[in-house]
Amino acid sequence: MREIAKSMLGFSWAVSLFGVQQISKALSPSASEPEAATVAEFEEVSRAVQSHLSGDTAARFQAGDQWTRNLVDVVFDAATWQSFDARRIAESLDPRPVIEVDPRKWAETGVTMFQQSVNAVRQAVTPAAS
Amino acid sequence: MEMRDLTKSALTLPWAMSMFGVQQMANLMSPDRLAGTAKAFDAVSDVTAQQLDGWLKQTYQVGNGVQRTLVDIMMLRPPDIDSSALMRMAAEMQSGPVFQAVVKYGMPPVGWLDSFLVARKDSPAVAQEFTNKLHVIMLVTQVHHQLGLDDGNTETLLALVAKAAELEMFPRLWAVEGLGNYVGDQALARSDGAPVAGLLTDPAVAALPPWSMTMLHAGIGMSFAKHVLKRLEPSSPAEDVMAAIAEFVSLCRHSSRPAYAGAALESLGLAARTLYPNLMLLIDTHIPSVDPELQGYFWHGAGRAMYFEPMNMLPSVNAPWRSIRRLDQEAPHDLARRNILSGLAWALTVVNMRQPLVMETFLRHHGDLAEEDDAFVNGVTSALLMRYDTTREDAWIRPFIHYEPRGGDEALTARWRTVITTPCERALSRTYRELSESHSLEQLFHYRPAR
Repeated sequence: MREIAKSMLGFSWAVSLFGVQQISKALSPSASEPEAATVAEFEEVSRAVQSHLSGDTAARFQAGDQWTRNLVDVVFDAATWQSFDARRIAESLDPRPVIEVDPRKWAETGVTMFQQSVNAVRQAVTPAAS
Repeated sequence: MEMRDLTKSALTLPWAMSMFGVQQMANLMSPDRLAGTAKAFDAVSDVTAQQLDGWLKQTYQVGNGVQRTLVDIMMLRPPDIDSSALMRMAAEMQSGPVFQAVVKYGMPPVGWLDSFLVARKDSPAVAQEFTNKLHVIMLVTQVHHQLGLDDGNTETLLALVAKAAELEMFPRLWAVEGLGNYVGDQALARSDGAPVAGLLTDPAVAALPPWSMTMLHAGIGMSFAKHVLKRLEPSSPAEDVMAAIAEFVSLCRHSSRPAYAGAALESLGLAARTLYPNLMLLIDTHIPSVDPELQGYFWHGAGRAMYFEPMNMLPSVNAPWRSIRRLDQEAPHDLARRNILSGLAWALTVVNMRQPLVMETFLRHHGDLAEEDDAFVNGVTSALLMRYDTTREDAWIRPFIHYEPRGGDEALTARWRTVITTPCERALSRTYRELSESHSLEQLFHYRPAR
């Protein structure tokens, strides 16, 4: 548990500083740090995170990510007058692919986590049998 | 297009982080997947930290080290400190402002407070030695700033050595070693895996001044050593260790002038003992089957590293010197012991030559050892000759040799003559000429039996 606590704190610290770095880059863009390099940094971290997703979480991530990327395309196309296809916009904004990931599994996971948390607390507060 | 990609990437990351949090929460609740949770967090942290630049990277490393120690303390466990990891971290951070600030402003008060734990008689000398070590660390770590050695530097090695030559005598020595290290790092980075050769033998650098040779070789050796050591672990198979040693020897020999290869080879021990002390015995075991000549140089470098080890720095662990107490613990055989002692004496002399009081105090505590074991005298004379070779006009050489210990202690005065004055005079008048004429100044970088 000690190692997990350290790893979680280290993770939070790394991600926070990564955020600071990206914000400072956004506020002071320079020719020596092109946007492509910033994209590569985001992608590198995202890939590392994705490699630790599995099962339903990975599916939910893929669906959500695809939906977000479609939405960005639509917004940028519309903003730059490249295309204005009402049907494509409607399809892109359709949230069903995200929702369609089996919700029962999420409910089960939530219930299991809650149950295990209760058990852990109960064990912690119950005096040991003499 | 780039702004669109940037927006997508910037939105993907928080979404991925959210899912990662959910995944790890689920793992935390599942005992069979618990072990993987810390690894997953660490893996993502490592990749994220790799994207950080400059002071943010240092801030991450320092903060991460602090939080890990605090967690240990909160859970009533002794902090799990890996000194080699700390040293590697310090080596990465050494040219940054955090490290510089700690050495310049943080360490002196610590040393001053610590010096109250030392007997009054020894206090001035050990406090002075602590100050000298900090000064040398500052000189070594400031070399990038002093010579403008950033990645975009396009000056030739000849021009950079000329720039170093304008520095004062004492900083020049360390600046040139740092310059050699920089040259090695740059060549390895540019080589893209191809063998690096000719760094100091190429006709383009034939005009390098002779005074810069020993320390430039020591510097490129340090770079090569770091390069091969980073892929070794205590569990590495014998063939990997031998391959790393062979590559190091090859890199040194193919970039060194004939008379100076030893100066580069010695850096393997310095780098290994400083950054990977847990690899020392493993490397020592395999050196004889790759290049037996390397073994003495290796342990001499280890002796130099022991002198600068942070655990041996504070005044209270000297007088008597902790590194001398550890001599027999660290040396696996007699050759190693003699070379460690020679390397320690070498560093002690070079760092404190301008304040002979430090050597006087050392001899008061360890005079018997210095007299009995010729490795100590060898280290002192080699350091003096190296100093003479690099900065011949150094006004501190003669006063050091002919120093009179204070307080009228006749025994100590006689001892100074025996282990410092007489051997150093002989070395300057005879040994230096012999080594120069036989093109073997590299012999100054390992123990040679007295003749």
